[in-house]
Amino acid sequence: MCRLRTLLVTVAVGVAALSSSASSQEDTTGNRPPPGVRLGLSYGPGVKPGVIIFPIDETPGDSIRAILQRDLDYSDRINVIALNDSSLRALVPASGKLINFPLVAKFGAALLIRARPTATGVHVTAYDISAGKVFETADFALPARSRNRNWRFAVHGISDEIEKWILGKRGIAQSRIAYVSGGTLRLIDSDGAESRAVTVGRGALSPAWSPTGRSIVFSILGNTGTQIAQLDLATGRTRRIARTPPGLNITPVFHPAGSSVVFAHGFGEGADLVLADPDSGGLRRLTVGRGSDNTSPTFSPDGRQISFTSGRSGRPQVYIMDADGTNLQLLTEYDLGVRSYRTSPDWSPDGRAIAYQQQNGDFQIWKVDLRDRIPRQLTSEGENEDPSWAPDGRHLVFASTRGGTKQLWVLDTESGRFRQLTHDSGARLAAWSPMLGAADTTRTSQ
Amino acid sequence: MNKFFRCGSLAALLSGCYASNADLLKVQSEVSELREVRASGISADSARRLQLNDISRSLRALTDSISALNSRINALRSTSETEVSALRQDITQLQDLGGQSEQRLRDMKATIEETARQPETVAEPGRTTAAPAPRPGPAQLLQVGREQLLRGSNAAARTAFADLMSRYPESEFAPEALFYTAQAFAAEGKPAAADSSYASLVTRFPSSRRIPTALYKRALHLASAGRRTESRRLLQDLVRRFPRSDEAALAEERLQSTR
Repeated sequence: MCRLRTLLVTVAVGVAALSSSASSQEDTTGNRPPPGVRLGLSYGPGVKPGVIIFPIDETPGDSIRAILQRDLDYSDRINVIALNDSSLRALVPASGKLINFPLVAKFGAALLIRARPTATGVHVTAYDISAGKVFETADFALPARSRNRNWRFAVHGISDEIEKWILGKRGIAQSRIAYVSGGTLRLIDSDGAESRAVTVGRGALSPAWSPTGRSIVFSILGNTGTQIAQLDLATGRTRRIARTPPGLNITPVFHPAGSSVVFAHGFGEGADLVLADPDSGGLRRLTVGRGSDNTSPTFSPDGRQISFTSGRSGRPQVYIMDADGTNLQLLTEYDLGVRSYRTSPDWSPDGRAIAYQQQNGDFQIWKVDLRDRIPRQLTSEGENEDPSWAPDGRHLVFASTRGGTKQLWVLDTESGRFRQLTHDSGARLAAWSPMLGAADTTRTSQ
Repeated sequence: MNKFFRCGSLAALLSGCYASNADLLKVQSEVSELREVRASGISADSARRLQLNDISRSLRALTDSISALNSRINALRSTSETEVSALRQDITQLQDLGGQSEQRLRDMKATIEETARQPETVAEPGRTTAAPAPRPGPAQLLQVGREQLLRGSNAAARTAFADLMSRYPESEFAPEALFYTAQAFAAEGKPAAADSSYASLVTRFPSSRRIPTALYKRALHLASAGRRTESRRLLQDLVRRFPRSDEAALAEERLQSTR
């Protein structure tokens, strides 16, 4: 029901935007090419290219169209022009007739997507409206014509490929978010569909993806304290990370090379970050907290640095150090006597920024650009915690009470647009996966 | 014959009665003596018991005192630990704030240098010429290098640092430039060049605050190159020279694990 409401809102926004975009982009059909960047398509700087997706015939067609529209909309880089039935009927050419490109351009579209199901999947053609010709075309394989999880995931791959056609960079639709709800580890697709539990029992905490996206490492409450476990997503099997010592073991994270895991281990008083070395099977301490709590590690994309939370100055702050434990630097500046604190850092996949939560009365999400080191507040409504970057380094998923109960929300850090991801109460500790696959594509012609 | 036996028995009985009376007196006196001895023994036992009680009381008092002392020591230890912990946090805060101030100071110096090197406009009759721009100062070069390093332009960063070190070898920023040169090499995937820069830092600027880090990184590099003896020597040197540094704590653990 909520999803339907979201879709209706999206459609309403699209229709509302239609009149303005249709008039504002009318020039694109004129004789003079508009100023701007050309990456195959022409569009003005700061303007999201408009895309119309024609209805798709045959049984799964409507589902494919709905998923594509939603994915492109959620990318926040493309303006999906949702037309009503009568407008669509006017645009879709009769059999054997040509597309009326000037008419399509009147609706503000820079690109038109036309797809038809084939025996093995779907054939997609993209038309450049201003040039009035085919821009890209490809065949995409789909697992089966049933609307199961894998099928939907393959359709997400088509969305990402279309985004690459338009903007030169794949989208993030074909990714998932791991999170904890009621002590159980769950997964959900990037568009908020296919939420499911992947562990049984309770006590799961702080999931983190492997660089390949094939497994998830997390901490789980057991008989000897909290242990670090690894879930193989293909087999569904969970195993303990070798030689995790008894006691407190929390906030694990994979090294970007996937070769080792770093997590916080309790040493009597306080906790230090340790590296689980796969070669020796032993643990190597990385921080010297001297009784303070050092937790929530996150690696820089090149694996050379770690950002983490440390209480060494009395209140938790975010620090950066080299991956060998040296060259410690305070990342989030503070003034003496100020009681606010900062935790849960997450390094963006492009390496440029670190997002974190700041407590100053309530919890809010902030980010600091590593080049200028200036903190910027990203949220202000409700309590907002535990940010995790999407693979595009632009979107963030986080737990928020802005909707009443604690849910996962997604923020586009460039436009400031929020959307609700989960609808089961108590969702928290989200971790966005890396890109989980490339569409099975056969490019037929151009 | 019968009379004779009766008289004999009577005589024997009478003589026996006389012996018992004497013995009885003797026994009575012995009993009396014994009673006296026993009475004195009892009084000695009582004294001993009293002594034991005294000792026991003293022991209890001593135990109580020790317990009280123990509690006080524990309380004192707890207070000291809390105070030490608070002191440590204060020190860390001061270090953090010191780091922040240092960074701001560097930025400020860079800004001052930038302002100072603005070309002066020399007005001459008929034409205006700009004087050649002065060279950038050390703080400015360090800032430029660090910005390049953060952008991932490692070669450009190294150029700025090399410039700083060649033009201002005595500058307070020269050790930092050498340290970041090593970091740039490491980021470029050139561990041998990075190690060489760290070694140079240790030799040229032995009082730099970066020395523990440089020594530790050198030790790791040597260990990964299979030169374990040299690595251990460096770690031992680090622990000996900078025992309170974080790197020393890490070095000690490495030394123990590779013993």
